[in-house]
Amino acid sequence: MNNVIALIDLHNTTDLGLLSKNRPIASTTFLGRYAFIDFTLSNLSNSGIDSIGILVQDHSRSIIKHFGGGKNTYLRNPKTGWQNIFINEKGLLNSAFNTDINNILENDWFLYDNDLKYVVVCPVHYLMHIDYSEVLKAHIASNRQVSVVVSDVTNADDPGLLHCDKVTVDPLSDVQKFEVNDGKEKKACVSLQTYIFNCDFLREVLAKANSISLMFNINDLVKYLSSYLEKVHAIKFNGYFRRLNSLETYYNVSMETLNNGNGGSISNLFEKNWPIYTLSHNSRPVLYGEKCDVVNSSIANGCTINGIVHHSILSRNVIIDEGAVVEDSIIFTNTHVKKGVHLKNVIVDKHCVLEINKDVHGEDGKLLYVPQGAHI
Amino acid sequence: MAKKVVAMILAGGKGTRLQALTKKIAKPAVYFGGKYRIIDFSLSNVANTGISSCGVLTQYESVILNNYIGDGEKWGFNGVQSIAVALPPRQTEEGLSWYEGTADAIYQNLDFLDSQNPEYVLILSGDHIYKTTYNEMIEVHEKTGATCTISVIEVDWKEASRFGILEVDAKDRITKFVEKPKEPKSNLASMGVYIFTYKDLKKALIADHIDPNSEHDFGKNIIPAFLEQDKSLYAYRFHGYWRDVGTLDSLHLANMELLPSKRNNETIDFDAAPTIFSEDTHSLPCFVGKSGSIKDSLVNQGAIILGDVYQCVISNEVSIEEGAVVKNSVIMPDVVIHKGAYVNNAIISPGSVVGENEVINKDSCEIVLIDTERSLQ
Repeated sequence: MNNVIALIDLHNTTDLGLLSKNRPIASTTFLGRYAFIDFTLSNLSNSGIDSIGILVQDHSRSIIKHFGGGKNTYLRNPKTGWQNIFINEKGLLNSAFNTDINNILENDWFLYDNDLKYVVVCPVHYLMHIDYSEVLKAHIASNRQVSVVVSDVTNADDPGLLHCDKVTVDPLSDVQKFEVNDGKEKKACVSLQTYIFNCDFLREVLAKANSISLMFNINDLVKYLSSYLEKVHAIKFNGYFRRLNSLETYYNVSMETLNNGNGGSISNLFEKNWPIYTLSHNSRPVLYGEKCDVVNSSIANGCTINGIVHHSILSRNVIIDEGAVVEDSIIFTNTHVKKGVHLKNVIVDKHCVLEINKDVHGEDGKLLYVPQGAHI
Repeated sequence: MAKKVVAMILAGGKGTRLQALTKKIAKPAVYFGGKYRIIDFSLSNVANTGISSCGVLTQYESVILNNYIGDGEKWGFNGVQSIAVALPPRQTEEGLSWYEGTADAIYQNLDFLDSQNPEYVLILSGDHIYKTTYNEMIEVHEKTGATCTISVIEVDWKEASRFGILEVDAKDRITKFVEKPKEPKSNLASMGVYIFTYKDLKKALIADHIDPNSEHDFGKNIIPAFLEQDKSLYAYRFHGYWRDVGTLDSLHLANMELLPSKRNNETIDFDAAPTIFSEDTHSLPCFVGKSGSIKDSLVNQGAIILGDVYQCVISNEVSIEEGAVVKNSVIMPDVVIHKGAYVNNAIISPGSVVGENEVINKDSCEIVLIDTERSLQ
């Protein structure tokens, strides 16, 4: 589709507590192999959208590291398609003005392309399998200038959905009003923070955006449009999605993939005809030792396991020595758990060495986080 | 731009002794070690040596192999001034002819070599498992100023009559080459890895091409002809892990040597540099279910293990269902082993299905090959 471009919005995201202190959620590890943005990029690629701008707010190093060579990873045709990292350099010094809208205004060259008809804005903190080509069809059929993707849920009180936008949709499928989901009711129609704009309309609105407010982001803008200027069409999405907004939701959504039998059957996030692409690291297959005991776990390539691993997720190149026990935990790349250590309910970040002979677990069954590079 | 060394990998053989495994793919494309194809080792070795031009001579069932090689991106040959290209036989002004021997295959691609304009040509076999760089061998070749340097490995005297055997003098200059001698006088076996000074090689190949009695083979014709002409040929002694996986038994054994309990100091260490590069499939990490158990095994991403696995090498997208027991076996990609099945001492070829409660090779020490067609019977 050469008349569509997608903008992946890393400005209006949630944070995952200590986990996203030094990295954006976009490049945070999920299921031991992926970064969250892999899902957005793979959805776009599988939907045939090959022109992609990534609106980076901060921590650009980890994004660039992940995508420096990403053209061949995600694009169907790296020559006809393009993938760019957009940074609002003026905004870097003043975070209040470092918004996605100012980022677009700073990098608005793509808007001058006469063939461009539609702009899709995608989030990274919603984990989902969504076919953007279907969403586009629905938008085009609506004859509206702007659409938002929404989903009816019966778990609006779930912590992961707290404080997301919820919408009231009228019989003509237009949004009547946007509100904040306070979680008081179970049933709601929530926004998936995915927008489709007609490009001409977006050009017009962007020209006026700074005169409305210098600090507006795209969410604010759509709400403002909906209230005063333009009907916003609501496109219903019925598939699987999870919203991540804290360390706890990160842990719960990760573990959910194990509880559902295996990662492959977690709803329809992973399907054979809908591959999730990610960077290649040339890691060897997993070495399972003679005395290891691994049950109900997801183990990424490069791991060496000689100890006990139950109900856990291990990223690349993790080493579990004989006599070590890992339960209900998530361990990131290049961490080494040595003999005598017992982990339970712990997220261990990258490059840690755990070697003191003791139990490491959160108080009262709570989650414990071990930061990157820790040596305990 | 002239290249110092260009590598040519011979990958056209069928590998008949691998039986049904090479029915639809050439031997160099056969899977190995859960994640790799046999040719990954040669291609990675070439890349890790810093050689940026690599031709891969393909012939038998070349489509999968040609496609796998692609633009060489998997091994980094897609960078500037780099090239990896599959070279199957082609039609030329002189007509169409198959590669009639290892030397003929190179002869028919002299135009490719000329286009790269190398000083030296490294010729390798695409079906050996080993991890090395050829830098030291190239240095030795340069230092001696030899016409050809042949990589050799010391083999068991009892085995020596299975190999091409080189006799050398005190300085490792080759005095004699005997293909599969009945009474070997040396235990230095040729690994099928040669470095030639290109101008000498080119002359020899052209002469060999018009010799009606030649079999156009490096071991049988080119090397003996050089020795007859009293050219200087040297042996380069290789030390370390090197396997020719030409039979089902040797393929099975070489896979089993990668298991934690069978590893020793010599075994290929995939974690240490240099890296063996391969295809990275779009797979989920390996998943071990509540009913699953794995011991002493090497398992690639994409595998779903709900049964019992003991001493196995398992590839991507393999599914082993609850209650299935798999022992001492090599399971290639996309294999499904259904509930309650029992598999022992087997190589299961890609895409095969083992039925519910099916028993394969119980109480037998022999290695069996299971292929897709058997499953359809």
